[in-house]
Amino acid sequence: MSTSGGTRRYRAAVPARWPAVAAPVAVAVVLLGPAVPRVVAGLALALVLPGLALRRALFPGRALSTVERWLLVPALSLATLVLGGLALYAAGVPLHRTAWALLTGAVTVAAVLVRAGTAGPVPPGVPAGPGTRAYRRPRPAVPVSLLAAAALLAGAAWLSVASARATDAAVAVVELSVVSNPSTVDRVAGTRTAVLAVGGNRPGPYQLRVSGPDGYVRALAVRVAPGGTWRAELVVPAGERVTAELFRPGTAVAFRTVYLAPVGVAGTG
Amino acid sequence: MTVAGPARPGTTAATVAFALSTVGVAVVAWAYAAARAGYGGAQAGYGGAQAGYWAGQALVFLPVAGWLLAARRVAARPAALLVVGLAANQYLLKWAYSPLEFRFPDELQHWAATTTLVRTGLLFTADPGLPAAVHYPGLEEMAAAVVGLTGLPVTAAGLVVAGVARLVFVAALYATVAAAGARPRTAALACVVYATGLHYLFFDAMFLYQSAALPFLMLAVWATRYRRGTGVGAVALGAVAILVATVSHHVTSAVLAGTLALLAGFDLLRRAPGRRRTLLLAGVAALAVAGWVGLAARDVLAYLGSPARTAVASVLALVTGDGQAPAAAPAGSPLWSMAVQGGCLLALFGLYLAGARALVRGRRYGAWRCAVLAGGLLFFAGSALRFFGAQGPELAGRAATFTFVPMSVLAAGVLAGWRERRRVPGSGRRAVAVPVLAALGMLALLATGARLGGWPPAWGRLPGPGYLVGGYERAVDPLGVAAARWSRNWLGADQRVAADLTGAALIFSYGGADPVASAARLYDDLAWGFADEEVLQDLAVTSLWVDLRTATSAPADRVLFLNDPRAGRRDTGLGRDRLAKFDALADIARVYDNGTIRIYDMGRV
Repeated sequence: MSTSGGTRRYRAAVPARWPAVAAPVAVAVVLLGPAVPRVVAGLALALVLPGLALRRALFPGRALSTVERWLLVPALSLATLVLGGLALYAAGVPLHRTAWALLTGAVTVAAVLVRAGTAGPVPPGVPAGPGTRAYRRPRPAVPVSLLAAAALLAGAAWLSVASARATDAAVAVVELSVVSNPSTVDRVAGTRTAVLAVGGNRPGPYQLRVSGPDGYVRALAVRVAPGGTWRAELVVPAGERVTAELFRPGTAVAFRTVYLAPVGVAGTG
Repeated sequence: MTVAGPARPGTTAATVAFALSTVGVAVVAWAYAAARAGYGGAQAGYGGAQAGYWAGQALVFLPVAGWLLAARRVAARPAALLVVGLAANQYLLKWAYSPLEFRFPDELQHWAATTTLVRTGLLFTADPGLPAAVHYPGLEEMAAAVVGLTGLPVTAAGLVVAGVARLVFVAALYATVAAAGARPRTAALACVVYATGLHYLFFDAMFLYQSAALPFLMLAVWATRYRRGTGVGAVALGAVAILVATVSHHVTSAVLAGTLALLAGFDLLRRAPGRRRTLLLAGVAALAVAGWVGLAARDVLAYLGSPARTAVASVLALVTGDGQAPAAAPAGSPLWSMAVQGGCLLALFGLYLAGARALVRGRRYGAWRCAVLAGGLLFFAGSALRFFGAQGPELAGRAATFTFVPMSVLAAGVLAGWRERRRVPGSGRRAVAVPVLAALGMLALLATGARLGGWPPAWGRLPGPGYLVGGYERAVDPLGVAAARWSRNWLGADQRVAADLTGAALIFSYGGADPVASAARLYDDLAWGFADEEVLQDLAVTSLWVDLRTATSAPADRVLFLNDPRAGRRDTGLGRDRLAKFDALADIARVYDNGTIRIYDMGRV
């Protein structure tokens, strides 16, 4: 029998204290570790360790059903992030990685210490549970149907991601832009500097034609590096509209057009 | 067959039901992929995608509901794991719709707010996209902590947080109903019935501040029903849950305070055990919510006041005979769809009456039962909201997130009662086939009604093919995202950009700019005039976002702008002339063009 009412004392077994050991290790991994272990340690600190320790402090023994035990772990962990974050902010601490890591690690260790310090008689009607010596965790069984379900879910996830990526990749994005900083306007010469850019997910090649008043024309060859942006700075007339047009090779009709508005320079008002 | 050790009684059948449910997830994922494959206009396979969607939805839901109704004995652990498994599968349905990025405008707003928190480390940063959320940072804290601790992108962290919140909510609902004295079958059925809520599948699973607060509402209620141990832990947990809900979402925290007050009232009236704890937690909730709104979040009163006043005015106008006609059916909702949804309401009302009758006949006036019955009434009052005013359907859906909880508990009790009580005439054997099939049919009807009337609407039920003007998730595509990112990189974040509904969401989230909500006139006027220049100056518009697709296609929801004076009446596109007028202005600069979206610099107009 695992319990003898309110008279028998129980002490937390070693496994009940493991979050106090795991939390500092996880904090170290989060602050110093490589990417993949950091994801695991970070998720443990964000969603598991504080909640596990707090749950054991708030509900000693086996005062909770299985589903209650499981749900309180992430719930109390999330509560730690929200209320702890507010407390840190009120104390003037910016909420960056170090703050989150130390907060979750400290709450975990503190909750384990509180639990160890307050372990007393088993409350009436509360049988032994995880963290008590008399408790023996049953060995879980994993039905094949669950493995099949996991495989199906993994397949569905792969299909969803691949399909969404393919859909996005199918959309041709070719961007043409032009900006001109007012500080580059030379009012005497009647010019300004225009920064032209071509970007997107289709590398080209393209032809860029920049035209303006008084027969101003410039033609440029454009090839966009994959995932990059082609840029050029041109000195263009300022007093009239200057238009930039992008052409596909061998075509006479521009498929992208941008233009700059005229700015007041000498002689143009 | 198992890999290690013998299964518990009933576990094998439950895991088979769960595995069947995951087949449904795979089928829906295929349907989504088939619909996306039509991107660009090809319609091949679209009909098959629709069929796959409905078949998949049925497969996800019905095996779990069927097992819970048909199993001779439902033990606590498999029941709980099964409903949490169902919740996980249904969350995956939402995720599979848009697995790479958030697309719903509100999700994009919270994504942007989380990104800001990650970058600055500061809470309560001004948020022009959703000002009311500034003083409710719970969701952003959760996601920013996951980002900081793991190094994951904000989108991935948001998906994790929203998913965990969903699972915790469902587990807490199960635990609450079980702690109130229900059997595992009834507690699990309550979760299954709740899964047929209008907004359950998508809206309540989104990366929104309400999603972060909901599990803590349910945990606080659980703390009042928990009856083992000394109760100190439950009081502490209840207080923590109240505080988290209070700083996470305004409406949820207000509903929590009301719910605890209702429970405390019935606990006191019926002299229920643990009534002092309920009263204490109700007091904590009232103080916390009033204190937070009074000290930190005063602006939320104005934010919530407007829709509340509109709803009340609509009700009063209808009562006095001055009211407008009931809200029209949402775009794309045929009459048969409305009939199914009406049938769902009638079915729920029938279940409500059956539950009330059982309570009165059995003289079982326990505090929990009375509270559930009173809460169920609120569900029908909230459902009636959909017939009042233009915002009625949205308000009804939002209210159902909360009021459907007691209705689900009541309905689950009735359905489980059918299963338990019906016996073959002339013998002591239970006749389970008829009540199980009847209950399953009713659950199928409710689930169908939820898919027809919930989010996304008919026009957005599948994520393709192609772009839809004003189509919320269906209107976010690489062209819009590229334009918004260009705006942030080249124009900076201090822009005030006039845009359509989708452009506003993108320019705020990806572009970091301040979207102008009330500039519909700039687009609607056929020719540029003095009035447009006044609008430009009054609203301090610096840039104009023009999506050429709005010229030729009517918005899916017949709404094109955040504050749209022609909302519900846009049956055609804007027309090319209305968008071409900008190019005729001498002092305007078209600084960006990707063939579909153009950005104009209005600084010199």
